[in-house]
Amino acid sequence: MSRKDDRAHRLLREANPLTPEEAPAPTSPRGEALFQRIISSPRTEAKKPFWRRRGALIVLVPAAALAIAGGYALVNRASDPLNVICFQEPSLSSHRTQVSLQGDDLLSACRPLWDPGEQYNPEGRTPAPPLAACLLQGGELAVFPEVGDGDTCTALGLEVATGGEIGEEHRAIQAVQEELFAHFMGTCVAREEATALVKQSLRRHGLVGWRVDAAGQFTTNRPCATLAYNFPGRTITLVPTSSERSS
Amino acid sequence: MPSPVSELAFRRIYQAHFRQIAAYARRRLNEDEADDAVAETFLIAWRRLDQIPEGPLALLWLYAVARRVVGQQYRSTQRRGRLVSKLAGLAREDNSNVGVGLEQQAVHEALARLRPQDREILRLAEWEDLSPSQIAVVMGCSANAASIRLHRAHRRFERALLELEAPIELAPPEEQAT
Repeated sequence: MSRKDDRAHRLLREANPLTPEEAPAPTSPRGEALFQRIISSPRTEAKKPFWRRRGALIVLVPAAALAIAGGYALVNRASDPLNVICFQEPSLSSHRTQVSLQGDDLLSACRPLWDPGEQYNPEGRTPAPPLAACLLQGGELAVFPEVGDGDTCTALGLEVATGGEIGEEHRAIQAVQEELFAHFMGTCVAREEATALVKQSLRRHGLVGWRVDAAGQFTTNRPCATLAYNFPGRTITLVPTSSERSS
Repeated sequence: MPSPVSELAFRRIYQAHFRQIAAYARRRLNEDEADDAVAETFLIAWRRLDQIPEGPLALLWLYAVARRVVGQQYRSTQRRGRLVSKLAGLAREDNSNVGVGLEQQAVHEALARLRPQDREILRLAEWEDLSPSQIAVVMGCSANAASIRLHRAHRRFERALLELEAPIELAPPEEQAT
């Protein structure tokens, strides 16, 4: 590249009026309000047979494959043991917040949202309600405030989550996630090192059926790996990112 | 009522890419128009959730949608005769006397002189930090075509910049006065 080219590149980059960090976050009040507005609008569902729908492929096919291969029960298993959805009201259409789950105590994961001053109790006027853990139809773990007779899950047409949804494999991947988070936090980890770290961690926690997808394009602008967990697909994907975003 | 699976899938996409799409829109439009464009982009994503590819390609899919939305928004603004749309860094021209140097003004002016396609491919490469193969996905062309277009756009940008800078850098003071 000539010096003239270098200068043109530099000038163009310096002319960038906005860095991503200056853009609003999805968790900002405006971002959250837009999200709620969008999901309350009707979706034009594609008229495909159910087995060709993306959700069905993600959730049903791997679950079925597992059931055949490993003898797992399809019911009472969480599709994503790394997250739990906390609902503000005992209704599937109420405001929801996804939080990370460590261990299998779903209620403890959501309860801080009702602490005085927090998202579901901003004025601190009401004590935290009793909570109920349910399993959504897609297999996601969910927590609702209890109503009346305390049979919230059934009232919503959902299974009660008993804690048995979090199996050994779930606990193991949670441990892997926690371990790797410590390695990747605030550090730029290159592809080769990231691949080795993830494989070691998977081995250490006995996750033999899992694979590492390192096919992303790592470049000089995006030299650092961040990790994306696909539990149904039993895959950890290394996503190339710039050094500023690697944490 | 949306299914929890759809909503969760959409939330993941929204949380992962909202910032990049908001930045994309704000680099090209004023704040209010950009907010409208972001809303429209994600509304389309919500309605076409089944068509969004997995993984890093999702962001490119969103950029492609945002590009069309921003284009429509800009044309609509032009039609209304309100040139408040902030093309490239022209947004900064209003504030040109508060901190943007002559060199930066020349860059924005040079960008504004380019054809829209050239301008967009340069911004995708330098501002959104996309590689030619990623630009190809966003612009709906082959990676080879994207590389060639990017190269040509760079040449045209350099020429436009040189033309703008020539009187400033080369002309002696007495000639500038005449």
